[in-house]
Amino acid sequence: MHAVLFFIFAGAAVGFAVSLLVQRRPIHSAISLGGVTLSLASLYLMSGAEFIAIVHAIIGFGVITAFVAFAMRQPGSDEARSTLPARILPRVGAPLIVILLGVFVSVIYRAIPPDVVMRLGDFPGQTDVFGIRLFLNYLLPLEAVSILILVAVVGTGALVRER
Amino acid sequence: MCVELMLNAVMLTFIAFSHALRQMDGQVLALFTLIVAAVQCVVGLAILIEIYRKREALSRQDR
Repeated sequence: MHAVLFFIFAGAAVGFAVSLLVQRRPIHSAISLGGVTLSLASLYLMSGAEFIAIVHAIIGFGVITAFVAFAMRQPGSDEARSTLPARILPRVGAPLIVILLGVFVSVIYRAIPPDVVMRLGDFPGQTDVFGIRLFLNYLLPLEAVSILILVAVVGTGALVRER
Repeated sequence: MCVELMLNAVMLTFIAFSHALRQMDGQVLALFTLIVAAVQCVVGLAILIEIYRKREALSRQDR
């Protein structure tokens, strides 16, 4: 079961990454980046890195929201919505996604016996060990990264400031 | 976005080695990589906004 899920999420990650590179519109690339983020978060979850998976999903979707907001501001972003395929595809695609998810869930339920609980992470300790390691062994890199964030915030404010 | 993709690949490598070697260090390094990815995205977007703003100002001058 683990191997099946691995191949599903790994294939999805590679597929979305290729889609990110070949899409011509920035908004489609941003949505593909969302797919990459979701697939990688699932892979992290399967590798026993629950904390990183959750943080990756939260930060990743924040980044994608910023990308989508930026892409929607660009001229020509309305053209995609007015074309015929863009109007038809969501109506056809939404039921197909629901059917696909239903099939996916039913396959997983049949593959896993009801008395078996799937173990996602199998590290001895998770967030507590992670925090201890971060604040004892990696304090200097942590402070360096926090200074980097501060510099980035100030630099971003200076860049986008109205003159 | 391509830089984001490359940093994602680096993170995946860290997590995979962390899982294989049964050590948490890979996860800590992956967290640092994630923070750097977010920071570069924010600064990159700010630079892009500035470029577009300058381009709009130039096109207004041309008219």
